[in-house]
Formats: sequence, C-alpha cells, structure tokens
Amino acid sequence: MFTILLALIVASLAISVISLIYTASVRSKLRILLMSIKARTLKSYIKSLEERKKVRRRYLVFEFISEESIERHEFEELVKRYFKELFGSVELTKAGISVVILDKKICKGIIKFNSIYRSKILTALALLQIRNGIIIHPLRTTGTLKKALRYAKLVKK
Amino acid sequence: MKFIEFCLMSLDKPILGNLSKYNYKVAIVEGIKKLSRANDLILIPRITRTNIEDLKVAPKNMVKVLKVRSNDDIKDPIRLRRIAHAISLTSEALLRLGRKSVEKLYNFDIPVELPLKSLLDAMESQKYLKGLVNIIKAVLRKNLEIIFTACPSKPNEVIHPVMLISILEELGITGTYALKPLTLTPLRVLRSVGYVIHV
Repeated sequence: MFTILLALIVASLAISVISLIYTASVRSKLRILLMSIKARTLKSYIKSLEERKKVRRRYLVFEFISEESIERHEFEELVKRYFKELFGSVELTKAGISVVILDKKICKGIIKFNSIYRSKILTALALLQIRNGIIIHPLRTTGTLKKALRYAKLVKK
Repeated sequence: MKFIEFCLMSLDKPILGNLSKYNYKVAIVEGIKKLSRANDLILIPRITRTNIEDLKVAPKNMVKVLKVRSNDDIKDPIRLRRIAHAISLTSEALLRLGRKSVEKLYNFDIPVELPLKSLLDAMESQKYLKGLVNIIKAVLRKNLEIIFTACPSKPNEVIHPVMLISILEELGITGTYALKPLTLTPLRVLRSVGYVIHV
C-alpha cells in the first residue's frame, strides 16, 4: 500500500515538473510571437499613418546674390532643372515647386513646395549654387505666405 | 549652433564673409602655416597629401589629411592612424572603396572626410557608388565618423550648413547623424591635433 502511494506521489511530481517546463518553454515562444506581431502591426500602423499624413504647403524664404540679373521664371526653371536632374520628373511633379516672389531690389525670394520635399529642394538649391554661381542663403521655412512675406521683409508687420 | 568648415581652399574676403554669415566658427585652411583669426573665424592650418610619407614630415600644429584614391591607400590602418588625423575621399574612392577597407576605418577609429566636390564628380559618372554605399552603411550601423564639407575655393562654393545637412539627409544619413559631420566630428579631430575649441 505504502509503495503504491509513494509511486503515485513521485509520478504526480514528475508530471507537474514536466508540465511546468513545457508551459515555460511554450510561454517564451508565445511571448516572442506576440512581440513580433506587435512590432509588425506597429510598423504597419506607423506606415499607414505616414501615408495618411496631410501634405502641407511650405514656403522657403531665401536670400540670393547673383552677378547677372535674373527673372522669377528663369530662377524657377533653374530650380526645376536641377531638381529634375537629381530626383527625376516624377518627384518634380509631386514636389509642386513654384517661385512665388523674387525681389531683385532686396535680393530675397520665396519658394513654395510640398512639406515633405524640403530637403530635396535644399539639395537642388545647393547644386544650383555650385553650377550657376547664384549664392543662396536659406533664411526660414514657414507654413503660410503671410509669415514668409514678413520674414522676407516684403510686408511691414 | 556653430559649425566647422573642415576644408577651406582659399582665404578670399568674400569666402570668409560668407562663412561667418552662415554661422561657421572655425575654418581649417589649406596652405596657411599657423593659427590666425579673421572675420570672427578661427583659421587653423591644414595639409593634404596623397602620400603618407609627406604627412610624416609636416609640422605638428597642422591638421594632416591623407587623400585616398583606392583600397591600397588604407592597407596599413595602424600607421595611418598614427600619422594622419583624417582621410579625404576622392571620387575614385567613392566608386571603389570596398567593405573591408571601410571596416578598417571604423575599427581603427579614423575619421573620413567626404568633400561635396568629389561626391558630385562621382555622381556624374552615373555608376554604382560602391564606396559611398559602404560608408553610409557604416555610418548608420557602426558609427563611422564622417566629416562633410563643401571645400570652397570660390564664394559661390560656400554652401549653407542647412543645405549640407539636407544633402546628407538625401543620402540616407538623418537626424543627429547628419548634424555630427558638421559639428562634433571636426571638433574631435581638432582636439586630437591639440586645439581645444569650445563651439
């Protein structure tokens, strides 16, 4: 009788230990799986958020020094040419570049573009400066034309 | 924020004027022999050579830079680290530099100068820039230290730091990684030469 009881206790202990080990291993695997799902979902969520992000207009106020006099449309053409050379025509159409104002008296101008293309526009302007010799000094990027005009000091406060 | 121009090829007044206007505080100038000041700028002497033996005999107060053209120039990184303060990449190096050579650079903590001119020259060839790709990967993964400079010799070649940062961003180096090549890394090189400058 005693031996049977002892055997039963030992067997139950062994089963519990085995089950504990098994649950621990499964748990860790489950945790890893859950984490990966979380990371994936989080990534896709961030991506979808970025896609949903509203593309806003931005205005870059800049100062320029040019030896030859340059017209607004000429400058716009130059910017577009170098942008196209660097990033291609697809990006150019998406960027929505236009030179709003180019004041030759105070040597300042404003470029309008879509917000996510800021660094691309600045890269194109750097290339323009090197190749064409027009020195460009970016002063400020704003969200409205009103503010841009104020920074360019084309309008009084 | 103040910036450091790591390679200045000329001391013309308009260039210095533009640099101080663009918030540069220090300029490392090729061809001068001692430390000087002009237009609110600290001017530090620099020597660039293609042969490491020429750098060995250069004065101690100069920033010594080795121009690298191929993988063979970085064959002995221990000696390079002892003599040169940084290496400058040419357009050929941007085309050819292999993964193992770049590995040597970050293992031996050698700062790499990336001049805008050689970058544009390399881009004009319209070939796969193996060296540039390897360097960008190393910057992002292994913390290879790079110095980005326009190397101006004319006033129109002085590029605003914001534009330089945006070029780096377009290359794939974003955030603080894009800011370091114009501020902290050149400062670290200057400290290794012996100039303690607070920017």
